[in-house]
Order: sequence, then structure tokens, then C-alpha cells
Amino acid sequence: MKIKFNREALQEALGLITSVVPTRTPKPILQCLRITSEVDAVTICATDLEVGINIQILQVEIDDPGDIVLPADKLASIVRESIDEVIEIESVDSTITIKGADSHFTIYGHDVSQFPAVPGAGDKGDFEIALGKLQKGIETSVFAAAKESTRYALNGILWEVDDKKMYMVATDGRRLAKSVVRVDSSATGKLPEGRIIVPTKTMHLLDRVGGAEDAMVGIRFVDNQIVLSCGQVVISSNLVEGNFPKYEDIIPEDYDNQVVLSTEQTLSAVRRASLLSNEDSKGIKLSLSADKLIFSSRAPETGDAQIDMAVEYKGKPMDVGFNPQFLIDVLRVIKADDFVLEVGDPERPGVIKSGDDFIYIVMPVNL
Amino acid sequence: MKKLKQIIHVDMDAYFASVEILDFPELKGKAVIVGGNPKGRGVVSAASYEARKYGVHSAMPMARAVRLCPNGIIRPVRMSRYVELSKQIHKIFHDFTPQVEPLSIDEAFLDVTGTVHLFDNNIEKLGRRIKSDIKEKTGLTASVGIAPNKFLAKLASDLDKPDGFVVITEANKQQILDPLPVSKIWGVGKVTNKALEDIGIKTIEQLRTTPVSTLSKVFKNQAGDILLLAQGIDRRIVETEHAAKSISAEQTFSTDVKDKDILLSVLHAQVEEVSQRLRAEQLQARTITLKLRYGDFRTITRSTTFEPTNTTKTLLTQTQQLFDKWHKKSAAALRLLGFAASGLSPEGTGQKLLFSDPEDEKQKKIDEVYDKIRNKFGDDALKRGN
Repeated sequence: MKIKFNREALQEALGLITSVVPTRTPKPILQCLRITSEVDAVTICATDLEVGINIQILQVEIDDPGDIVLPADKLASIVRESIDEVIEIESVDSTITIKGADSHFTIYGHDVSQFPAVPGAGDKGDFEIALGKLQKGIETSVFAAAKESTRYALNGILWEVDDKKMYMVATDGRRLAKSVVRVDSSATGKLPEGRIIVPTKTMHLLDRVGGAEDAMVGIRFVDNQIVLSCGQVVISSNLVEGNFPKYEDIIPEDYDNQVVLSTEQTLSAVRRASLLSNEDSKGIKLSLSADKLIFSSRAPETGDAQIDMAVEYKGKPMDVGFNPQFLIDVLRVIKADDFVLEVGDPERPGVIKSGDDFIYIVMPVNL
Repeated sequence: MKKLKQIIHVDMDAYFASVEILDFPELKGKAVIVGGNPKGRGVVSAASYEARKYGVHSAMPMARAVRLCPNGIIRPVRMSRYVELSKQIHKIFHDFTPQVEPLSIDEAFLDVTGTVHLFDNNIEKLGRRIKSDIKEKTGLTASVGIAPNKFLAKLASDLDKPDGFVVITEANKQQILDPLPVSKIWGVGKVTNKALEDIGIKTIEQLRTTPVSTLSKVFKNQAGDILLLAQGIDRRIVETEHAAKSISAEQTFSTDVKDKDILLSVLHAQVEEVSQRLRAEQLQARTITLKLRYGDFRTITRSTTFEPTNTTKTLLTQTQQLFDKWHKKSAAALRLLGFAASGLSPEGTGQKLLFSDPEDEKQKKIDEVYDKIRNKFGDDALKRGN
């Protein structure tokens, strides 16, 4: 094999690909990339056996076609440190050389036949959604997913379709985010069993794919895997097994205490109030009364904090405690200037709404 | 000059066994042994003074205790009852000072430096009152030790047990310490005792006149502290409940234990005890810590933090993981094994959950039933399957 790459194009592709490569694994081959030449393009792929990625690079000059497997971190660092415009990768038997204008690296390749299969570009897909809409849905939901829950279903994002709407729902058992992604044509019947759970790693990866807002992402399902294709990038992923909690029941619909708040001001108030929150309970108190919202906190043996905000509120006075981080997380992803906060009582969840397409439920902290 | 501290150590006499005798008066004067099943791996949790005459002591395998004292009456452990009475006793302590450091379910340090003036500056009077209040309100006897520091106070309460009352002062402390065997010093166990004997040191007097360089060979870097203790000097302060904030159980073995199964069964019993105490006090813990002391006194701790809980199953699972991790890497014979739950908060406080975990709910119910049955029939009435 002998191929010349445009370094910038190669580096961009590697940036995305290497985020799939596991840092620790009992199978060293998973810490490698596979580079395969096609007629006038080269594909590079990586997998951790749960999530796979396949990127086609067009800015190449193929002098001699081939197929190699080499350590991901070494290739990525060599390309990152390089000052060349063009990088040449050549392999003879299992010896791979990477050449720049003044540099020459030799790396030993791994056995290509040992590298697991990674789905590449295929059919158009079962349905399509614009990249921009998908990424907005991801950004407004994935932060609420669990990190390492023993309830595996919480470590992923639920996708559910209802005609031209797709819902993305994430929860860690304490708060829940639900975003609506609007699809151009009816997607009913397009997801296996109507709902799937996609691992957060896959969602983060999809969020990092570069491309125009209106670039279309083709979605298909192969052997219990979801395959997402967008331009030159194909991401394939296992689905999370297990039951996602019945979240519909916990979204309160009977609240009549509502207040419209400025996103930026509230974020600042929460941040400041959290500076003196209790180590153990990590809670701040939101006190709503006639036209006033007070954010307060108390750290035993240290001191307390209070931030006052003028609001338009006519409902009954109310005190509710929240983990400030759970509020900061959501206020960071709301792009609109204002949002709606609804509260029931100190034992029941708070509700945050932004437009018609986003709802966030957060359980209180008992202070 | 700094005012001398006035510390009282209160230690209940044969606590578990005495509670059994209190609740079942027909046991009075009999050799009562409280502990696990003699046919299984049970160990003695407590023995009445009558049983101790036969050589029965706590942490001894139950089967052995039965051989030593065949006429002994075996009673199951009823932890919730002991906790209930222990709470009453602690309430009494707080009548005398807010500075109370509970050491375990049946003993505590009281710093009365600031409150002794309420008793005509007469610490003996105060100490006698604690003793008589406990007897009056609970029917149990306690041994009381009074001294200028924790080490001497604990030593004093032990000198004239049961029903003891000993006062150690700056003036008489060396006189009392000198003839005592070195094993009375905190940190001197069987192995160290033997090592000291080998270099001709049997009494505290001999110990305190030995140069630190010689002692270093036996005590490593603890030699300095041991020397101070031998002179009756101990600067540890009484840590009140508020500052201590943990519930723990620990056991020193009469001979070092290496067997994984035995260590695990001791640890499981400790987790059961601690989680039961958490529930009885309506607390939940965020952190658990294993305390592991090797034969050579090297002591390490291993801890982990998780969502606050007081369910036995969750605590057992976390403990098992922690233990396995330690065992895989650094297993060796232990002279002491302990378990502590900390990061305590009142049950039900903190972050609320959107949906209850069905498994968690189930475990809560199991614990509830478990506590009820064990409270009524004793801790051995039910055992968890593994």
C-alpha cells in the first residue's frame, strides 16, 4: 500500500475516530485503526466493539492500494505533530512507514484479519433526520443521562417516534430531559419496537460529527445495531438492552405555580447561590413569593448566601431545594432568552420548559 | 497553665449479657453466653461474669465456648434491644456534658472539664451520679474510670470491673501504671507482648525506662506514642458525636486470622450490626470504610462512597467489593478487622428520586421485616442467604 494524504483532512478524521478507541482493553487490536483504500478514497475505521466508526477521506492520492491495521495513538500523534501538507503512508509486509518532508517513522502493523468488522456506508437508511436537528436534540438531553448506573438503560438515551416527532429522553433517576426532534416525514414504524436506547457514547460521537445543519443523517438498523450515516462518516452502535423507566407518569401536569425567568440571570443566580451550599446535601433553596424569587444556601460552620431576583409571580409562596448542578446543567443548554419554571411542592419535581420542544424534570433536595 | 482535662470513661459491664439478664430475670446468677449458633461459625458476642469464670470471652468461637462452659445458657444477639437501651444510656451522658464520644454501643468518653463546676467541682461526685443514674433508669451496671485523659480513663474503668469506680490523677498515675503488664497499653497485643517479653519487658515501668531506639524495633514508628502512653500522657481529645459522625464495629482476633471465609463472616456480621444501627437511628450512610490491621500493626483503611443508603444488602454488596479488592492485592493475616459507615445524614434527606428502584424498595421491606423479627427473637433467628 502507498497513499498520500492531505494532512489536515487526515487529522480532522483522526480527531473523531480516536475518540472511539478504548484507552484500556484486554484486546490490543481495538487500540488500532484500520486503513483501507478504495477506488478513489480511503476509509479509516475503529471500534470498541460497542461503538464503531468509519470515515471516508477523499483528499488522497492512491499510488498503490492496500489494507493495514496500526496503533491509533501513534498515528494520531505523528499526524498531530507534523508540519507537512502531505503525509505519505506506505506498507511493505507488516512494516508501515509514515513519511513527511523531513521525517520518516516506521511502525509495525497488526494482522488485518484480526480486526473486527465495522459497518461502512450502505443503503440510504430507513429514515433521515437533518444533522442540525439531531445534534440539538442530543445537546439538550444527553447531559441528564446516568454515567455508570447499574440500571443499564439509564446509561443511554431513549429514542421514541410518534409520527413526525421523535423524542429523545435521558435520565439518571434524579432528573430527566426530554427533547423533541421534528422529522420531515412520518417516522412511525421506523424504530425497532417503536423505541430504542442508544448509548451516550454514541450520542456524544454523533454530536461531534462536522457538517452543515441541513446535511441529512441516514438511520438504519442492522443486526440489533443502529447505523448512522452522514456524509463521509458512518457510526454504528449496539443498542442498550433493558427497560427504560416509564417516564410519562412522572411528568407533572397539574401545576399552577408558574414563573417566566431569564436564562442568563437565573444561571448566574444559581451559580452564586451554590458557592455556599452544604457539602453533604449540596442543595440550594429557591423561595418564590409575590413578585420575588430568592436563591439561598447555607453551609454549616462556613456561612450563607442569598441572591434576590424580581419576577412576575402571583402564585402561592413556595420553598423548594434543588441540587444547583442539576439547574446549571439545564440552563447551559437552553438557547432561548427565557424559560418557564413550574413548581408543585417541596416533595415534588420542579419542571423547566423551553418552547414546545423541551421539558426538564428535576427532583428536589430535602434540605 | 492550661487547665487539666477531666475525662470520664463509662463502660457497661458485660453489656449484651446484662441486658439479657435484665429482660429475663431467671438468668440471674447463671453463666449467660450471647452469640451466634454453636453449630455454625458463630462467635461469642458477650458473656456474663459467671461464664467468664470458665474462660469464655467475646470473639471466641461459640463451639469452643460451649465446650468450656457446657452448662452455659446461650442467648441469641438482639441488637435492636441493645441499641434501644444504649440510646437511653447516651441520653443520661448528655445530662452531664454535651462532650460525649461514643466508642461503641456500650462505652463512651465524656469530657466534663466544662461542667464539673455544676457538681461542686467534685468529679467523683459527678462520676458516682452517672453510675447511679444508669442503674436507676436502666437497671444496668456500669464501670466508671476518671482521669485527666482518655487512655487513663479507659484504663481506670477496666481496673475494678464489674461495677468498678476508679479515679486516676496526675499524682497517682505513675504509681498505678508502673506495676501493670504492658498489655494494658493501647496497641500492645499478643504478638507485641511476646516480642517485649523476649527483650525482658513485662511491666509498664520496664517499658517506660527502655530507650526509644530499642522500642522502635518492636513498635516501628509508633514507639514514641507508646512511650508517652507508658508515662500516662495522651493528648487525644474527646470527639463529640457531631464531629465523629460514624457508626462502626470492629473486632480484634485473639490470634491473627488469614482465612478468607472467617474474615468475611466476621465482616458480614459487622455490616449487619452497623446497618441495623443506622436504621435504628434513622440515618443513612454515604461512605463505608474497612479497617484492616495486619499482624505487624500496620493498619490500612479502604473506603468507597455511593448514594446514601441504610439497606443491608447494598452495604453488604459494597463491602464485599471493597474486601475482594483488598484481598486480591494485599491479603495477609489480620489481627483486627473493622467496618465503619460515615457521611451520615437523616433518612430521607438529600436528593429525591424520580422513580424508585424496584430492587431498592424490595430490600427496604426485607430489612424492615428482618429488624422486627430479630428484635423479637434475636439476631440468629434469621440469616441472610448469600
